Amino acid sequence: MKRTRALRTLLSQYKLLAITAVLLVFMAFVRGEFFGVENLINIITNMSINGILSIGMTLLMIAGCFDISLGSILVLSGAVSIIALRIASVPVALLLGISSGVLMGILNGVLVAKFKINSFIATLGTMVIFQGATFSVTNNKPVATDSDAFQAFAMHNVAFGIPRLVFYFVIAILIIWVIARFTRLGKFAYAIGGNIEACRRVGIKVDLYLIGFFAISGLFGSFGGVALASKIQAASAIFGDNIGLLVIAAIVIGGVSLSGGVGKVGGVVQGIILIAIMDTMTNFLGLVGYYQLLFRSLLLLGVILYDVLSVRQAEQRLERLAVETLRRLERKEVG
Amino acid sequence: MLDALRRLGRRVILFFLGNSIVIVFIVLCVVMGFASNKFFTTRNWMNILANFSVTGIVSIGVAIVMIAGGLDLSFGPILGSCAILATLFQPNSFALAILLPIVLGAALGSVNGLVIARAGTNPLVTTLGTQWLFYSALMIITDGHLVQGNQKTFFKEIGYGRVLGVPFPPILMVIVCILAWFILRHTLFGKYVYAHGSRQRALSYAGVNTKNVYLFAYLVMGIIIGIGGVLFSSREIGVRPTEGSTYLIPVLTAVILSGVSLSGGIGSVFNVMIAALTLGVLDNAMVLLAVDYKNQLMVRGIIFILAVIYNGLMVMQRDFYLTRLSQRR
Repeated sequence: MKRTRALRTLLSQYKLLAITAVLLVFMAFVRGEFFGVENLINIITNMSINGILSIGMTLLMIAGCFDISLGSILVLSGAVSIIALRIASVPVALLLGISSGVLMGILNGVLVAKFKINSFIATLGTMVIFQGATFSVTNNKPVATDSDAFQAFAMHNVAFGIPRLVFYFVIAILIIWVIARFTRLGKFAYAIGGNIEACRRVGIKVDLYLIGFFAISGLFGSFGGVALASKIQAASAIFGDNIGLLVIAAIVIGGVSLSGGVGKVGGVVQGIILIAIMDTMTNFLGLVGYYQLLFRSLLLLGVILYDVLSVRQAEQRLERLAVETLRRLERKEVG
Repeated sequence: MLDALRRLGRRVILFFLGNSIVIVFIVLCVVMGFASNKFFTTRNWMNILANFSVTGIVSIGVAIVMIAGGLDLSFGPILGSCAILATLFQPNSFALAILLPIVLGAALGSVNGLVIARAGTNPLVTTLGTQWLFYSALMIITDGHLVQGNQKTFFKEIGYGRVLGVPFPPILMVIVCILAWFILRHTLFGKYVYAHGSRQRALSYAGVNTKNVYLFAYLVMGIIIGIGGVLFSSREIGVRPTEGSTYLIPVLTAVILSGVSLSGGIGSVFNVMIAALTLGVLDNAMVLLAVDYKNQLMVRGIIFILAVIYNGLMVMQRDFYLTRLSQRR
């Protein structure tokens, strides 16, 4: 009994890693070249930007809100940094790009926390605004740069062909993990996501914290945007289409509840790794095009169904336990 | 006499506080009437009406689901697949070209409804998943290619025909709107939809099977989107599988602008139609006023956010007004 329960919690915590492992074993038999060093480095480089975005929004989702405008924040900050490069030095351009994302995050936060607009509606509106602003500043065309120093920001080879981008991703994971695990900010994220009204009654400055979580999400979003601009040396308003929803889906796959209060940074990292492996796998198996999206949607639907069913099972187990205990007590009283 | 007048005044105030989109629409029209002398011409209005009928019809369907307390992101690919099916059957059979898309819409809509109602998953993530599922399936099946139909069939009359000088698309939109209004306000199912949106638990305590309410709401949405797909297909030479998804933002904007509450229970399909028209007028205004194309999207977004804030303020005002009225008594 106890052992099955332990197994069950282990499975629910590491189910994504288990799927990843199965997929990897499958690939080892079918396509051995999947494990070439170059391919593995490619996979982790490609997942880094989406990873940074997802990790950055994790706290916000734990607090029960989300940010669909993330894709637009990504493109606007990238465009800002590339345009700033024309008149400013590389560090100034980077700083401008990243701080623009923080400002956009704060705007989202103010709309949600102060104007009491549902985060879906508010960020849907700002998504259109930020994308429109990108169209305006880029004059409706992609903007590009050829600055090597700017490209080095993301793609400088640190060691063994691994670019800086991957290390940014690792640092992002560490920062958010520490915040979620050890700081008051992280505890309040869980508390606000769990019961926002109760937090308000206790005197937690809910509005301020919510704006803060939106700002963090914007910060990582714009960091990812600047890194993407630096990686491909260009920015365009259409790069961000769907990114917000893809990131939300990745976080949900990682086990964060959409209504807030539940979720772990480790789970989100597992989700990101699984999605990256799956995407590369479909390419390797020759399923080009929309098969990536197909598998991703099946994974998303599978995970949410699994979660709902496992919660229901747990509830039924608890109920059975309660009934049993009551019966035992009754028997004792009679005896 | 005075009392009757006062009661009428109250009703007018309450109407405008509760339907702020009507004010936005009227103000926009009046401003445009002064700004451009081309605005209030018959031709211009025929254009606006005909171009925004598909958005209007799809918005009405999505609004029903949102009034029931759900949410749908998958209507884009559903619209796309219905339109493609209509285009495929249009050269051969008029009846099939109308019937099959509606059946397909109903089927895809009830896939959403089944998962959300039976398993109890969150509508937003579920329909996000089904959106990608439908979209990628559609792209894989059509290989991303344009699907072309025959130009010279009776089917085209749906999109370009006129009844007494009025283009048929807006007439179809009004018919769908009246039907939806009738279903929502005058049938038991409609009452359940509103009740489900505002107090799901109360409805289930009253002995209603709440799972079926969701299922039917998504089913009705699918049927209405199927009608939208037929109209869409008849107005285009050919349909690209990506085209349905371009409706995602306009439709959600129209539904939210109309004052449908995201938590459900509040909303009116007539307002949804007016909100879709407002978007049409806004697009038309930007063309007439020669707003630079690169700035149009930003203007749209800013007006959307301002309208949402305005709507929130009006709802608050209405609540104040109602409490003051009840205190006076």
